[in-house]
Amino acid sequence: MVGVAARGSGRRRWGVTPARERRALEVGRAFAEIIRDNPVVHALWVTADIEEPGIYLWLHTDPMDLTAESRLLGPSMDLIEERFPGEYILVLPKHADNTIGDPRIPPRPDAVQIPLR
Amino acid sequence: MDPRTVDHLWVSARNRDLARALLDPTLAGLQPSPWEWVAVITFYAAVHAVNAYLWETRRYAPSTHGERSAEVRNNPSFSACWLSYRTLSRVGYYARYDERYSLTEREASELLDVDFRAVEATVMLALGRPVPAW
Repeated sequence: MVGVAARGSGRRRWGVTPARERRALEVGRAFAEIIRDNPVVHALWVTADIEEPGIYLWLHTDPMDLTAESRLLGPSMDLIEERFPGEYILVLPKHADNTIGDPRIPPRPDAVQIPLR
Repeated sequence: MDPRTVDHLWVSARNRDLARALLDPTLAGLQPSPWEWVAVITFYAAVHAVNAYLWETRRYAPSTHGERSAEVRNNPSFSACWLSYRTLSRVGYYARYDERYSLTEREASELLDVDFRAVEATVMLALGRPVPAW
């Protein structure tokens, strides 16, 4: 379940309810449909309402700079925001150029991986 | 302008100038490097700029980043800077909460010089104020 493991991690949680967990998974699966054919995207995880209210989509991608991230993610973010206009959704690419250590490691203990392919 | 609007603009400019100071070439080689903090400070400079506009025009003070982001996304007054604000939100969140996140100096500089500048200019023009030169 999204966010459950954070209960013992010391991270602040914002009342993640089962409904929010289902919503986060719904958003994650919808984003997987949008992004799955992009060859530079290798993995997707979702978390919700951990540090701040919102749904967070973590993408393991090929290395790239911030400009390339925005170019890659812009259209996909537009689509997911259109589909879920009431949600605060951040898409967070993680790769060798912006991550200390192995970017393939899940971003949070409670992150749920969404199959891409 | 309402005093609270002025306060938001003052804090925005202060954060902007603090981020600029951390990017000053005279601090080259500063250890540990401050680039993630530049991203955080720059994001909050944008937050206060947006807050200034929302307060001045509607006496509205968003209570979450989600509420504020929705305003920037949906309000035509912000259309020229929505993509920049979204980038600042994304990188700002990463820099605040992910202990393994890192930025380069060039990326931190672009956040300020390109993305914050777009937010600041949009807000100042919408408020009928001169765009600061820096």
